[in-house]
Amino acid sequence: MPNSTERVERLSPATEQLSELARTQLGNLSAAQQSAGWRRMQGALNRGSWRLHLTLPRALLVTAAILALGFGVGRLALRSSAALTYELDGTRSTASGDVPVSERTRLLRFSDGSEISMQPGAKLRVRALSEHGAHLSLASGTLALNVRHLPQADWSVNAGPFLIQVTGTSFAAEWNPESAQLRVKLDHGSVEVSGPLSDEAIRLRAGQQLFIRLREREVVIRDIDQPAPTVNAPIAGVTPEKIEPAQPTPEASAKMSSRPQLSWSAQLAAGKFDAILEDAASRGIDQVLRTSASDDVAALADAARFRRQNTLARRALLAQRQRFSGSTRARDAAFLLGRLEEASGAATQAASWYERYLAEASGGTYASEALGRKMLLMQNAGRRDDSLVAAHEYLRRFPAGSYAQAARTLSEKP
Amino acid sequence: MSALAKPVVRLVPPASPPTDNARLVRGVVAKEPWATQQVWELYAPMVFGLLERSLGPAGDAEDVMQEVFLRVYSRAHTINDPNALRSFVYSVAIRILKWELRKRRVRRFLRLSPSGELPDPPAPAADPEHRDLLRRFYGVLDRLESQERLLFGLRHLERLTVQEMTEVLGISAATVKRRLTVASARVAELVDSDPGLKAYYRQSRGALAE
Repeated sequence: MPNSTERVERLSPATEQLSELARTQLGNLSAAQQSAGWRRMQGALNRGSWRLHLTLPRALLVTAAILALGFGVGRLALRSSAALTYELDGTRSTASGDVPVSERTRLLRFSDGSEISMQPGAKLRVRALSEHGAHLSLASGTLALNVRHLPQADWSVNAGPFLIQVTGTSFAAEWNPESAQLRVKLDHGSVEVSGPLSDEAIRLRAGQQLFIRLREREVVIRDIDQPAPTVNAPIAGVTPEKIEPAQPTPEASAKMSSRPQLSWSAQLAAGKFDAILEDAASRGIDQVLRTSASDDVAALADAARFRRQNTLARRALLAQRQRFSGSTRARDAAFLLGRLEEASGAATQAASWYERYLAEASGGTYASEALGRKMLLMQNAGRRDDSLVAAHEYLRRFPAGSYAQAARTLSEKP
Repeated sequence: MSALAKPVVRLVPPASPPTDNARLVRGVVAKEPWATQQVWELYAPMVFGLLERSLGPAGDAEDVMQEVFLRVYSRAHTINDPNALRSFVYSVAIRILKWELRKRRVRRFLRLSPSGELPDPPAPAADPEHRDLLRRFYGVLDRLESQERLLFGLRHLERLTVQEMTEVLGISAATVKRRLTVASARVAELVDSDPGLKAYYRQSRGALAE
C-alpha cells in the first residue's frame, strides 16, 4: 500500500473515487472462472503450447540457427529409427492426438508389439510417439497396458496430476477426474507413480495395486488379490465388490480354482484377452454362444477380434445379432462384421454389412465410419455412381468427419 | 494367509499441501501436470486481479492470463531462486501486461475498430449500475501512453509503492515519480471533462453528505 509520505502525485477526488470503484469491482477471480481457465490451459498444454515466446531478435537468431543446422539435422533425422506406429480398428496411425471415445472396448496395437485396451468411455490421448515407446494421457476411464519388455522401452501415462512411468510391464490404470482417484494394478514388471502426494515416486512391484485418493490425501498399496481399502468412497466405482463373477457351466466350475474370477467384461478391460478365450474354450464355444449373456458374447467377440481369431469373432458377432436382435450390441455387430469382412478382403460382404448397420443405426456410434468405409469400398470397386452418392451423403452428414476430405476429392473429380 | 495378514503399506502424506517451491519449480520444468496445476491454483487469482484491474472490464484478462501462465511454464527453467517463484510469476505478468497495453495502443492508433476504440464487451464482474462508469473510466485510461497507463494502474489500482514499482519495472524512482505525476494530472483532466464521470462523483458526494 502506498503511504501518504511517499505520495508524489495527487489524484483528483473524482479520480480517487473511480479508482476505488475499480479496485472493489474488478479483479476477483471466481472459483468457476479459475476452474474453467485451468481446463482451457490444460487444452493449450495438451496441444503442445509449451513454446518459447520469442522476442524478434531472438526469433531471428533462432531462425538463423535453424537454417544453419537444417541440413545436418535433416541428415540425422533420416538416419534415426522411425517412431512407433499404432493400429486402431484396422487403421494404422503415426500421429499423436485423441483416440475417439467409444462405447466399446478398443484395442491399440503398437508396432513394437505393445497393446493398450481401452475400456468403454475411456478418454485417451496419444501425446507423443518415439522409437522406444509412447507418452499417453488418460483424461478419464480405464486402460490396460501390455508393454513389451524391450531395451530402452520408454512409456508413460499421465493420469490427472499423476505420472506413471513404465518399462516392460502389464498393468491397468484407472483415473476418475471427478473424484480425483487413481488406481493402478500391476500384473508384471514394475511401474513408478509420481505426483502431488509423495516427494519420491511410488514404486510398485508385480502383484501390487495402488489406490490414491487425492482429495482425502490418501495413498494405499495392497496386494493385487486384496479388496480395495475400506474408506468412505469406493475407488472410481470399480471396487472388487462391483465386479461380478462370471457364470460358469457346472462342468467349467469344477475346473476353476478357488480364486474369484472376474467377469469377461472386466477381463477385457484389463487386457486379458487370452484368459477370456481360454475360459470360453473350456466352457465350450457352442455352449457359450448359445447361453451366455449379451455382454459376455460381446467380450468374447472383442477378445477374438483383438487376437485375430476372425472365425470365432464372426461366430460371436452373428450370435449377438441372432440372440439379442434389436439391441445396440446387435446393431454394432453389423458394423464389426463389416470390418471383419473387409479385413479378409470380402469387399461386397463388407459393404453389405455397412449398409445394414446404417439402415439399423443411422445415428449410431459407427455411422460415420460405416458410411466412409462404404464410400471407399464402392470407389475401389469402380462403382462411381454409388460412391458419389455415398460421398454426398457423407459430406451432408459429417462435413468435418475423418472421411470428409476423401469424399470431397471424390465429388470434385470429373 | 488371512486377509488381515496381507501386507498393506499406507503412506501418510503431510496435512497441508506441499509448499516446497524448489520441488514445484522442478515439477513445472519437467512439465508435470500436478506442478503446473498447483502453480495455477496458487497464482491465478493474483495474476487475474492485476490484469483485470489494469486492462479494465473488457473481458480480455482471462485470455491474457492464459498467455502469462504459458510463458511462466515455458520459462520456469530460468528461475534461479525457487523461493522467488511468486515474484517471477508477477514479473512475467507485468511484462505481458506492458506488451498488451502497447498492442492496444497500436490498435487504437491504426483504427482497427470502427470508432478507434475497442468494442464494448460485457463486464460481468461489476455491478450493473457501475458497468457504464467503469467503461468510461477505462476509456479515459486508454487515452494515456502505454507506460503511463501501466504506472497509473500499478500505483492507484494495485497500490504498489514507488520502491516496488522501480523493482518490478526496472526503472528509476525519479522516472516513476515524473511519469506518475503526468499520468495522474492527465487522468484528472480527462475525468473532469467527462460529464458522466463528473456527475457520478457529484452524486456520490451528495449521497455521502446526506
